[in-house]
Amino acid sequence: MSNHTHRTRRLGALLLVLGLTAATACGGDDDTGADTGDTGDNGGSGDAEAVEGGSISIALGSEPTTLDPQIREDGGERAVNDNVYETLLFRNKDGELEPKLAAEMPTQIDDTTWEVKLREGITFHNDEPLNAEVVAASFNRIIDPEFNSEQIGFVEGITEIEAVDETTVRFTTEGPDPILPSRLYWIKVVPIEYSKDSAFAESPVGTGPYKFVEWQRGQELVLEKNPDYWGDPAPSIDEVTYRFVAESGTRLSGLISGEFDLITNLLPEDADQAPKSAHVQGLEHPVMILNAMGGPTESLEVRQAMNYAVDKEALAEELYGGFAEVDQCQILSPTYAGFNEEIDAYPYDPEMAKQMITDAGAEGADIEVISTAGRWLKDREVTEAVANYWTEAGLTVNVRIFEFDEYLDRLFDRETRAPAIFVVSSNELLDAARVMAAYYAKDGTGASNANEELVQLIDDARVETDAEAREELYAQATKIACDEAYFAFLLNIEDIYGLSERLQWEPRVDAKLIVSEMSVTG
Amino acid sequence: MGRYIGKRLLQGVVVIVGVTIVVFVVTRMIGDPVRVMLPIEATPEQRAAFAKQIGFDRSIPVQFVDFIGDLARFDFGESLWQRRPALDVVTEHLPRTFQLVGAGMLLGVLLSVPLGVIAALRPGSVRDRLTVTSSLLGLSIPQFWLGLIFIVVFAVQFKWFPTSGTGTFKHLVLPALTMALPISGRLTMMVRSSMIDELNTQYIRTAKAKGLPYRRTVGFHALRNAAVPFVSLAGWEGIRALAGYAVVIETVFAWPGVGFLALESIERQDLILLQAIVFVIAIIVVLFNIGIDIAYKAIDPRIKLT
Repeated sequence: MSNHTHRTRRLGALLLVLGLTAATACGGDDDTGADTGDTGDNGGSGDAEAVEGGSISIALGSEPTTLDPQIREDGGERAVNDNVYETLLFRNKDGELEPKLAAEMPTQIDDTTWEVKLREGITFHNDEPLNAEVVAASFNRIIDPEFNSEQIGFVEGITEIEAVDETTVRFTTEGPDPILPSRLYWIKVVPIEYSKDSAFAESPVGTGPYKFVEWQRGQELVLEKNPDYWGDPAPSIDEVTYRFVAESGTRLSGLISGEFDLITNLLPEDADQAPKSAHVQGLEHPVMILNAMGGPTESLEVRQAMNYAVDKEALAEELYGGFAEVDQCQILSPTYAGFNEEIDAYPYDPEMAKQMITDAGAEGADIEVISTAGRWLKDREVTEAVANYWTEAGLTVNVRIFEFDEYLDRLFDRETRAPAIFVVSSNELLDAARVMAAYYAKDGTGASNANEELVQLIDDARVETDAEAREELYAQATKIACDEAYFAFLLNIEDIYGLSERLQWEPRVDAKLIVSEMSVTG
Repeated sequence: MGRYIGKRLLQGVVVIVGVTIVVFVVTRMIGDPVRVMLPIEATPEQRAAFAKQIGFDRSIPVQFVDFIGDLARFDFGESLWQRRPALDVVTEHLPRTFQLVGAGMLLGVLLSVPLGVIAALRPGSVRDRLTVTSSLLGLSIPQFWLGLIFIVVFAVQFKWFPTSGTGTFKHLVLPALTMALPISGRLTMMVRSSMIDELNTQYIRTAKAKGLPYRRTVGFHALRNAAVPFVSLAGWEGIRALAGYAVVIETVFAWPGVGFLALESIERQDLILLQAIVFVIAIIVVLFNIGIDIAYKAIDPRIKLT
């Protein structure tokens, strides 16, 4: 689960400890201590036959605070409810939107009106029927200001939802909203009668492939297969137990000891220790925001040099154990809507970087780098490594690591922008809109440029409902930001999961843990 | 005695209110839950709306006055993270912490008294040195490391115990042991040194010279006199276990107690929950201290409680 409070608790001692264990385990002639290590796509290992049924245990980093799927922004809740509830649209393995509860993709009636046709004959686990009225009520529940949902940002701009007939829902938006389909991917549909019951938040009832069994707070949560599941793929695993373990070393130990079949947020350095590991493009992009409005970084040459100076490949390899991809001169991944295929990362060229800084007369210029520690995976390490590259290129770099709250003071300060601010952008909707508004557009909470043209493009794209035209606008925007080097573009970190030998599963680009896509071998 | 307890309780109330107010002021100075709880990409409008929703749009003096008013009614408000009454969340987690601290303390005390006495009987001997060395080890190994070692050895390698979680007696063993080792390390050192002192006093020598059974001299007179500083340190260790060790151990072993809750509420900037935790822990510490004073009196009637 990558949510924005992605915490990185790590205990350096663990490596040592596990090393010790491996040593003792290898002392004997049995080979159980050895592991198969990294299997990029374990789904294809093939020699073990998947069997029907079985039960598995999944260790999550945090426990749900509620099981009402519409009230909180809560990774633990999402991990569980993604199996109990369903959404109108879903993402396939490549991250593309597909109909789920909807019979087909939404159709756009005019600039601000969309209609969604529903599949027929679907019922909730308590036999309440799913129809247009229920869907409309689900969305109306979440947009009600009185309801105070933390997910309200995901349905921003939807003003009216109504049932046209038994199977057609009509959405009306405030202005043109090109990412309405992505919003339909986020919001879970709830049974309208039962959602008024006070038991709803403790014992969920959805349309999904798994049914809720029990939740002992602090201990575990159990789901079982819904034998009458309407959809595809039909669930294979009979029962899944969720446990909540905040400490990553403890999660790994539980995986090795066989208590867990799947653990989330495996640290890159621990990937070899897991019986099996799987990794996939993640939602998080560490990046340096460069101040184009003042100081030494006001010079385009200096900003470009700061991109050439950094060996992104080496960062991915050394700091993330190879579990990261170099960002292609944009804070977007290839599967996101708005990704620009035409631009490439600045190559690593330390000589050119040095030369450009000399030419710009910026030798020894003071660059203050603002960052924080322990908030994101390897935040301090990346910051320091990048600072080193900049020092080598001839700048005088001063890294300042702040406690998170104080760090936010600097990040949000619109008056004085630091020359370089490290940040990790997270992209749950797999879409350019939010990162553009927050980091690219002048006056965005994290932006350090004053480019009016860029703002115009981003504003236009926000209301452009023609997908191609929208892509084109974003392509122009990302091109400008790349050429202007408004950022020192770095990486996209992969999500790494630890798997038991018997679990067969391929992780998803949207980080969802869909149990019906898992199976176990005998 | 009754008057004494009444007086101490009254002082306790002052302490608790004081601590709660300090926590309010300090947390408001260092953190803003609105910024930390929302994604960085949230717009200023979204932040403002969220601040209003959780009542953090009010000025700090106004928040403070409201807070004191609610405090008088034992109303701590809703946890920002759990969205449930904060005091309920704390009391729900409290039994787990009591269980862990109780087991850890019991184990620590049971280990330390015999070890300390055995060491004190022959200072400088091999078994004394062994005891001292292992006690020093016990109290100086960082607990998160010790916890992980235990997990790796006893849960991963030997599979005697589960790696983490709660529910059965087996779940309790490793965390309780992790908690007990530093406690027993410090207590053993204390028992040893006070016993050495006691055994060198005139009255023990006299008793010895008179031919009183040695076992009785050591077991009854010396140990009893060594008990006052022991109880004092044990009480202190108990408080440390509750307010300190529990945070680390509960996190390592995924033990859902108040220590784990405290860490989570700090990381999530759930100031409301943090206040409730500090308030409850402060009450326990005050009551605990009164209990220790009463124990002094029971051990040594010469001590006057005033």
